[in-house]
Amino acid sequence: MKPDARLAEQVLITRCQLRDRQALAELIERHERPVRYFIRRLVNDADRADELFHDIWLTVIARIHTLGNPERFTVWLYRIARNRVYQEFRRTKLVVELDESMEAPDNPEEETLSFEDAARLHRCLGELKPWQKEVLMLRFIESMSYDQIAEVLDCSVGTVRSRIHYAKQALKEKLEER
Amino acid sequence: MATEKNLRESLLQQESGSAHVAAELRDKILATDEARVRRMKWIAGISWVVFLILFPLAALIEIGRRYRIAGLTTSEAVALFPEYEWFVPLAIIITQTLLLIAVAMTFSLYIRSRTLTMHQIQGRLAVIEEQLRKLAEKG
Repeated sequence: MKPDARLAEQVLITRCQLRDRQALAELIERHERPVRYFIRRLVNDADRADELFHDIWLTVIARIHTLGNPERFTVWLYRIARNRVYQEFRRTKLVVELDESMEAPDNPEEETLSFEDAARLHRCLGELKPWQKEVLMLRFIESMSYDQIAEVLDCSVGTVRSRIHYAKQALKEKLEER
Repeated sequence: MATEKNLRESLLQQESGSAHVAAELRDKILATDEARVRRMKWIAGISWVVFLILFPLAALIEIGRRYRIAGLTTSEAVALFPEYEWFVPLAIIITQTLLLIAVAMTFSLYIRSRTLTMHQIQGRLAVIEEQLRKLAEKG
């Protein structure tokens, strides 16, 4: 995010913490597309995703005064979103497997993905496992650093590195299959 | 060809609904939140009012009974004032429940309405001022 945009967001969040309804509307608008995309891709059900999006924002509005540093808002928001989605997974008895034993190669950063067709990528992303989708989306949709992703996922940076590596591999395989 | 840099926009375009739907969703969230706060205020208000009416009423009946029928056993008192048997114990249970609800709702409302303190706002402004100064220096 550009410095001026970051500054504007900090002011906006401060206004939200002062219970300014107009600022809350603007904040929801600003994060609507990426957060909805994140939830929709994770749950693969548009209606359910919109209900979750609704719940997530009600939680955000109720707890926004507890956010100490406005610069951490995006991480905080995705943490709430992810927790709510996983709560839903548990409720619907969907098993989310996480293989923590995976090790990333020494230089996973060098591996880049390029895509000719965003629609194809979008479809393939939907076919991945939740843990693969979430790291890729946080990385590419929100351009989060590994540290920020680790904070959202509540795991170590090394784990994030390995998850991104294997998620990219899985995505490539899906793309090649098509 | 899309690369990781412009991947965000390309992907978001795949899923984005109309601006109208997004605005509807935003308004629904804000309306639900307002309704929730309004409901909490009503429950808290009604609980306090009923508690404040019921508590002195039950206390008055109990005091009146004791004053008028001093020296009587409970069964004799019940025979003389049948309402004692059900009204006072029921009023005690209701007032206790209402008191709990009223306190819980008032506390929730207090938490919900909390905003930043002046000290925190000053801290934020100082950070923003510092960042603006840096931006101006760069520019």
